[in-house]
Amino acid sequence: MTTPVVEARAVGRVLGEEVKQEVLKDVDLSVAPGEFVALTGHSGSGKSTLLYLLGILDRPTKGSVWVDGVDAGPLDDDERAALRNNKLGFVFQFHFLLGEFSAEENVMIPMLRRGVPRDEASGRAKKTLERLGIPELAGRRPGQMSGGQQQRVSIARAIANEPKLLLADEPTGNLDSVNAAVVMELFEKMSDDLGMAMVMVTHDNSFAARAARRLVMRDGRIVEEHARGT
Amino acid sequence: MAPRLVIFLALRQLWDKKLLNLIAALGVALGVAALITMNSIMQGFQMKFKGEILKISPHVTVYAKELDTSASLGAQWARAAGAKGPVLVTVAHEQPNDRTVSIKRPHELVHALERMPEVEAACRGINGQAILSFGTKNTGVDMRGVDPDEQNRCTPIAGYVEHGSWRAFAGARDGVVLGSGIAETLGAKVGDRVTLVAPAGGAVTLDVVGVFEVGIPAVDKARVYVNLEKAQTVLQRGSQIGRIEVRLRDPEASEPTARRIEAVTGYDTEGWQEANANFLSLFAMQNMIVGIQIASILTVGGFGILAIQIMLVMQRLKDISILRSVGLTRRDILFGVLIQGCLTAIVGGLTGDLLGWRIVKFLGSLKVKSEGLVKSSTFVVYEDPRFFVYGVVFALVVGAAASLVPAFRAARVEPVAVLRGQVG
Repeated sequence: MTTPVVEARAVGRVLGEEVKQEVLKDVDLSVAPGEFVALTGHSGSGKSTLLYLLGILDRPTKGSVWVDGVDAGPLDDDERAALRNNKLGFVFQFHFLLGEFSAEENVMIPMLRRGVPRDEASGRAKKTLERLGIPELAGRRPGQMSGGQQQRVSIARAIANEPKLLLADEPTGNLDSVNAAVVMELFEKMSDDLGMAMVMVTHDNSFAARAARRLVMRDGRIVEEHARGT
Repeated sequence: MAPRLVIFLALRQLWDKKLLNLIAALGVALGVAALITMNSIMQGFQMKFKGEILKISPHVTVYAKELDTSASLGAQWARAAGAKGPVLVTVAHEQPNDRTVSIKRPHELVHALERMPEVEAACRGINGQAILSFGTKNTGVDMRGVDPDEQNRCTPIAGYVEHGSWRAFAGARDGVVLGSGIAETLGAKVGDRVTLVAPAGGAVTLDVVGVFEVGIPAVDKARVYVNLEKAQTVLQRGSQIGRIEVRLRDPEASEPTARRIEAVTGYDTEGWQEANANFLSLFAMQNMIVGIQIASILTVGGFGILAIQIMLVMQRLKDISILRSVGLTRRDILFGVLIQGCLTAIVGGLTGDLLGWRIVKFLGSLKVKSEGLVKSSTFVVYEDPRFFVYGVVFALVVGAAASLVPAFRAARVEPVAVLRGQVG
């Protein structure tokens, strides 16, 4: 049996300091290498919270998260940061690029953190932008790009380090339908080309239907699971 | 940590907000400019004062001992109480004329002193208060009875004689050399005849052979030089010598040398630092006050950096979260802000150096007539390259201290809290 790229074991998460709210309740989830999983559900169902836990940006209140066979629980902040840098890529709804940096530099940052020499990082960033069909954006800053272009750059940044797992939080949520479709295709292409697994939170059922597995969440639990075509 | 990435990020972020950071840097620049200006002025003044003092004052003065005071009565009784057998206790009222105010065998002492390796020259003298009259005008003077040739080796006064000459003084037994202030007060000039009267009753008539100006009003307005014998006559002191002035090879060593001479000769001594202790301690106080002022200005400058960095960190919460999500550590973020604060401060420090240098140059060129402790026609500024280095170093310390708070604030950011707030 292959090691799952990410695994949640009986994960629970309580949020709020004065009013405690159990946002996740005993969630188990395992994502195999190369697998495309969609997380759907209403607002407040806990899907984003689960995504941040899988991306070890957050710590569970109970249970444990394993990334590529490593229990993230006992790791300190630096080790978790290194794990994110090496194994994970993030795409957020609000395309979050650093405004002071060009598209190419934004894509280079995760590689530079990993210690990739500047020239090589620059070359790889250009190649990644090319692969996403936006080589002409390399020198532009986020302020000079459309929302769809920014989101494509942020995908380039997420995959630049060739992560094992791509985590996307409503990546098409802020885009018009044309751009959303383009971004969705890119995700699938990248997932196929690079063999990376993907967990995507989405409201869009048509996109979710394209995933190998579609999980529906409600009140902090995974309540339904559908394979593609069912 | 990934130092090169952190520096790259910090430089870009700094440059992107250059106006704000420049404002913060200006606060520091003003502090550094103040540091350089104030130090240059104060050191300039203090060094000029010390220089003038050293030029005209003996480095060490040997005095005839003021009455070899018997132990106090109390001490005598105490000794008596512990002694066996009869004890003699002196009970007497001290009279001023009991005092032994002359130095015994001064020639031999001068020769002995001049054989000490630290000593460059030694010379005999006698001082006293006197009244100098010219026509209908009188003024009190500090009379110095000296051997002209000897004296010039101890305190090179000859170079300060502006009218007449020291050589003429050396050649004329009835000559007197006046401080410029006295000459002005009396309206006397070279060639005039003046009368010197001492409280003890002696009076002599003297010819003005020179007028000197050393640039210290306290000296120029009070001192006159007369021949040793004339002073002894006026003071009715026979051929007594009241003091021996000593010039050292290293003026800074005056205190230890003074103590050594005291120990060897048994006479009281006073180094120039001790003689001018009131001024020197005033300077020390002045330096401390100015130091506090400069520290305050720099601290205010530091708060400028702190405020602006805190604001920028709050603006960049989103960026910080992104950087953390792609694998930057808390330490990366911390150093990123520290670097920005320190660079801002260094830019401020260098700007302050430049500003301070211009101000010092400007002040140095100003014509200012000042007649306080030291007479001067310009602002006396002392440009020490060390001030400029200190400026940048202090700026850096302030910058590092000021950016600690924003840096830790940035490092504490929890990306999920920011992302959740944004993503909803």
